[in-house]
Amino acid sequence: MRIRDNFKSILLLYDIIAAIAVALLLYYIAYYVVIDKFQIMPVSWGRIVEIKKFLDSKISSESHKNIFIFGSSTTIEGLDCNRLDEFLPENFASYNLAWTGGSPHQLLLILPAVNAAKPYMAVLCVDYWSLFEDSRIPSELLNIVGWWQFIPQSELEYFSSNFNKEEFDELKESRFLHLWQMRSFLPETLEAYVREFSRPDLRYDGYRTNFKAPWVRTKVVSPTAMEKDIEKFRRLATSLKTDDMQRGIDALGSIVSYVSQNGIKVTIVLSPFNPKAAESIDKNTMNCAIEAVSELAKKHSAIFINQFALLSPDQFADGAHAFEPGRIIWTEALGQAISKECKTQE
Amino acid sequence: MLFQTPEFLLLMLSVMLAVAMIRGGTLQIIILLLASYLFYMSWDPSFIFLIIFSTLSVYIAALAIERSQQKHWRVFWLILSCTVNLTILGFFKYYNFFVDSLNQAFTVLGAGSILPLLKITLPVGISFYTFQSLGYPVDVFRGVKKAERSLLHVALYVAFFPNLLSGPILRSTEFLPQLKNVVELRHDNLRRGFHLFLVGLVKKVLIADYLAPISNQIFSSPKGLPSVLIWFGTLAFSLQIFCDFSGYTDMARGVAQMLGFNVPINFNYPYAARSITEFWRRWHISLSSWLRDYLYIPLGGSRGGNVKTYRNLMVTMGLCGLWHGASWNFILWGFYQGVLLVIERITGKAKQKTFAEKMAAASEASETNKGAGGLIGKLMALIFTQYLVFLGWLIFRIVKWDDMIYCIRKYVIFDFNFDISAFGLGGANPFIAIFAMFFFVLFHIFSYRIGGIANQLDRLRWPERNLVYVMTVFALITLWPTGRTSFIYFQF
Repeated sequence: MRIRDNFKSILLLYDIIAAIAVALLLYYIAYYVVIDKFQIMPVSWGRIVEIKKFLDSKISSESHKNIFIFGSSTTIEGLDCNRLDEFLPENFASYNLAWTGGSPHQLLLILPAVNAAKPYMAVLCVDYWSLFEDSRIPSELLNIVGWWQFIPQSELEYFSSNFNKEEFDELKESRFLHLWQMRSFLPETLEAYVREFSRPDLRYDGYRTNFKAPWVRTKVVSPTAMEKDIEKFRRLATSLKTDDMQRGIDALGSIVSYVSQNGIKVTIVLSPFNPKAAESIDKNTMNCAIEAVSELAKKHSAIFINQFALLSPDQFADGAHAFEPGRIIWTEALGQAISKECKTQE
Repeated sequence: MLFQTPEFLLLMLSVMLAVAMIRGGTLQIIILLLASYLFYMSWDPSFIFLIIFSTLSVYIAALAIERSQQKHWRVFWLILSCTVNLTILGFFKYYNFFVDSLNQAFTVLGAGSILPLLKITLPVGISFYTFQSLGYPVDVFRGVKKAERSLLHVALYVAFFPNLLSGPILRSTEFLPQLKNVVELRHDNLRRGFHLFLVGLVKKVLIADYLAPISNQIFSSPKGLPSVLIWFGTLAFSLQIFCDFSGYTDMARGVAQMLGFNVPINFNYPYAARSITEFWRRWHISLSSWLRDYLYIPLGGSRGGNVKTYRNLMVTMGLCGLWHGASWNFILWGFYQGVLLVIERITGKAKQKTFAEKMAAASEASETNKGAGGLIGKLMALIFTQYLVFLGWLIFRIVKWDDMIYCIRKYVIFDFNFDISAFGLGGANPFIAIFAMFFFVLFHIFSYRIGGIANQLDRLRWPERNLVYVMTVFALITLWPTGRTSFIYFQF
């Protein structure tokens, strides 16, 4: 009798199970509409989706005159492609396709689309610290890549050696699970929008789809914030060790090898670094890194441009990102360097 | 195995089904004990022997105390059981801390390090179950509890899985009698337990986990930050630690309730306290009452004059700080609380009122409108008390001395620098943290006014209740952080 009563009590909780099922169903419907149809997500992720769409739209006959520039937020803020185009021959156009956190490792995720778009040149702007990067690719990015199928199933295996098991497993998950794991997008979107409205220099006005000159800061941060940010990069610079370089160099090697096989020219740029933060970099480590990148470029007939020490401290808005004068200098220097290549093609 | 994981759901369902199918009470206790040991072993299997050893020590000691005719033997057994359990706690939790401090002192004196540091892993929940174990022989010694004949019952009392890792710290007088009955899964208990669990989950997932990144970010490197950010971080941590810990307690109580056990409350709106004394009656109640009954009163409590009372308060609160962790900042935090309690006793002596209550009374008297004045006075007392409590959380949170001093200075002396951009807080979602704080305030006030959300849920009719279920589960799914987060008090 008591056993039957126990089970009866448990079964009376059926409404809780039903409520959880309804909530789950609602979640999937809501998120499918919100993420897939309206693409409501933090702008930095939204930009990557738009970059993929942009690359897909460039699969056309004239696309071989395009120059695609990839990199991280330092590239987004540091290069103005409208100005860069002034240095290029008439039928060339450059596009700033960098995104926040866009390390060589992350760039691997978008390579099939780059290959399909077949630009004339891919410029890989690499931050010094990203050569040593061993952090995991954010789940959000892997889920975006999985949901919008950036990498065709047939090509997944090619990249397997560049991802750790956790990353690779996440990439291979079903779309059902990808949608489940995108649940942080709504609160983060809210955060991003509120944050942007609270700042004096609105960033996201067309930021997602602006592939020429996405954004530049209108003012330098306060001296205390600058000092703190520089200190952060100093600590980062000190922590970089030659032994940790392999993963970054391997990723870079895979990118160069993959795109150059398809006849796309590759230029590797070591991005400008704030000299104040660079003070604490170990010179031997730095030489090792530069040598490794240089050798890699030579091996794949790619161009290597070292612009590490191009800018002075007052040309940075914070510890890492170029401010307007710095942006002009970097853009012009890069424009002059790659224009030579374009002219030889002409 | 955290409460909010599928693994725990599976364990809980298995236990419920097993308990439901078994007739005998003893067999049910065995199932619960196995589940408790399995739950503990999911963290680190090797430490299960510690719990078993602690159980055996207090089981034997309690029986020996009861059977001993002469007082000195009763005292002997009590001291032995306390020594055994405190030695285990002391070794695992405090050995490296004391050796390190000693070595540093000797290094300053020029003698160098004298003792080696050991690679010791802190067993999760050791402070909680050790205190639980310690209380039982004391209760038997005092004659408030008869020694339990069943080893199984004592073992389950020490290791009961819902509150094994972070409390509430159970009393043998409350829990052991509940094991005499056959476990029945009653519908009202199951539903009430689910409501408690849901409320705890909301506190943990929708508030604490959204406040954690911002307080972590601010306090990982606070130097250079303006006062406004130190205040923001302090507020975030104060709400985080409450929601994290009380959320865990609610879930623990919910799980126990589903199985038909009553576990006492641990929090009673501590941020509504208008004096530090009141705060300690509302915060971590099972620990503060344990310290009162097993430490403060045996030390003499308030019976031996003012000086002894103050000494007893300082010793109790200092040890309360040390209980939280093997670090000087916890000890300092304990003494800070002790000093505040002593000051309240001194200032409250004349009219038997605490300092904060006096402020409230003074403000009340100064107002011509008595109702509004009373409210303002209470509000002032509340703000003043919480200002001191939050200052205490700064000491509790920051381990590095220079960072702590910097933060305290910025907290106490406001610098009116509101240029807060570019401090790299963006990744910690500061605006979501602000939403979470507002949500906490609404949730807390609403809960306070209706006498607890779980109670209110019990009273709702079917359609409304299910609407709340769907909305809450939807909010939990949507806002559940993607990373796995633990509970702050697990480290203690």
